[in-house]
Amino acid sequence: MSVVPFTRSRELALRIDRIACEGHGACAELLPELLSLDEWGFPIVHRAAVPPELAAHARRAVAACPVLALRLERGRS
Amino acid sequence: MSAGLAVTEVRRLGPARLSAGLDRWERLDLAAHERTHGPLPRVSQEALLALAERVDLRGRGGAAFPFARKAHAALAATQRGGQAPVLVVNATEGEPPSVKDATLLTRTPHLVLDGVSLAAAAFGAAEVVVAVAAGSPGELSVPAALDERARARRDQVPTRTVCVPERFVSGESGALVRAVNGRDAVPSTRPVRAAEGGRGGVRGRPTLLCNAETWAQLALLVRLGADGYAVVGTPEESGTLLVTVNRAGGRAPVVVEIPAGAPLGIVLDACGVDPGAGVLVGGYHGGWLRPEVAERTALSRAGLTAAGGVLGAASVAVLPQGVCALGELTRVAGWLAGESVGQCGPCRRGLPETAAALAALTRGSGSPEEVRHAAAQGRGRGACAHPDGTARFVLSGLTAFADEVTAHQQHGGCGRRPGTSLPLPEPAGTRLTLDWSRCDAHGLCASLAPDLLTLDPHGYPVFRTDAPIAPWQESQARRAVAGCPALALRLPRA
Repeated sequence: MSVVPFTRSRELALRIDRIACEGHGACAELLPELLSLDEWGFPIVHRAAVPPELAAHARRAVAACPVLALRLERGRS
Repeated sequence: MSAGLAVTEVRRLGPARLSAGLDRWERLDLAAHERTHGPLPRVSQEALLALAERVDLRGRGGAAFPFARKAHAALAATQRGGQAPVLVVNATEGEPPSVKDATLLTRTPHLVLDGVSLAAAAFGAAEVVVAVAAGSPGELSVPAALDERARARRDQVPTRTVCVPERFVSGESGALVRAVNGRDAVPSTRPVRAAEGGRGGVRGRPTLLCNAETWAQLALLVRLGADGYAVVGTPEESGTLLVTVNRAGGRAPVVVEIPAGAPLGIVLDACGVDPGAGVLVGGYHGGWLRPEVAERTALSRAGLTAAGGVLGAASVAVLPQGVCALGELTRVAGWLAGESVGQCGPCRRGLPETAAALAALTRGSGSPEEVRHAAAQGRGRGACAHPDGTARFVLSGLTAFADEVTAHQQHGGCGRRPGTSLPLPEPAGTRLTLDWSRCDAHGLCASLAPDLLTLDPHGYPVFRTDAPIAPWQESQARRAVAGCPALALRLPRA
């Protein structure tokens, strides 16, 4: 059996479900490095790619979204 | 055919392909169609895909996606899942300035049905669905044509007509598949690929969805062969193109068949239309061109890109000299805002704000920066391209009519008359009305219907737009009416 090396070449990326989002704004509070709010409270993504040092914060923002509109996805490499 | 159908005039520059026979007949029935175009050819799957690849046949609904790539994806999904594909003709054409698909369906429906029929036979399809907008002429013409074909036993694959509610975004492919499946015609949360089948396909099957003109072009391509087809057009974009030219002054639009790459100036000339103060190409998600640029722009994807516009579904509308451009932009932006289905916040809030900012600028109290800011808010932040297309329409208008913008900003108007040169459907629906003598500025309405109302500094309500209430705003409006303690707010029946 060959050994498959454990790599994390694919970056995490933020995705917003624009239909589900109701503009609660919790995400921008928890992840201001990557997100901010427009004048109506809907998130603006400054950078979708999540650097490793912010991964924990990003997960917390995802967990805090009351309508499950924020997601973290493994980018397409 | 019933006498109630309006027949759109079809002209041509260069060879008559889609428009063949239309100079002699108002509508080509099956006999006239076969006399003009010849019998329905049979073609294998491989040959069909090779033909489409050789001439690089692209979708004609506006997105210009390569037909062969879409077909390959659907066939690959069929092989993986073992389910036969469904082919869909998208003839919903929700854009008021475009009537080319409706014209094809009313005047030469068999050419469209030939294209989808020969592909259905080649791909071993389970079903063909023709989607038309409810209340459009296709609703009568397509079943009549299918009836003729059934009696003559022309099609191997069962074909049905589906009417979907006419809204601007219901023609978006995801929304259309949802409508065919009996759900609301709204774009889906995640970009679903119809070709993959599953949730995104008709009845869960791999679905190949193309615009009506695309299928008609496919029927011509199979009959003419790749070399014959590519005799006209540019080397990159071969064949002909159907263009809708809207004429001002209450005259009906004309549909023109042109070789791809023909100069816009010549096409306008052939329709007796003057470029006026500016030309809009690509419909209400398209871009404005200054007249001197428009005249020498080639009507092809490459030509429009070079001029800073988009080809879209190849519709052309002109702003006549002496008509207030900002007034027209405001009118259309208001309509586009109402055509949002209100699913995504940036679109639901951003488009009415854009329309309001334009209206303020037209009155002389706003600034182009406010309009730009509002239009940019929604860009790239919706589930479909509606906010992006609307932003392109508004922003390109501000650039093309920069002198007028300055005049409005400095003098509160440009002195030109307000016009109705850009086609829009009759405003339908009802508006909130307010009994000012009863209103006591409780302010509940603005919290219950934030998309419709805001409060002035004294707490009295201000309507955000004077557009009729869109279907998705109705529940909000009813709540505000029910919540008004002074019974000042009312929602009359439409």
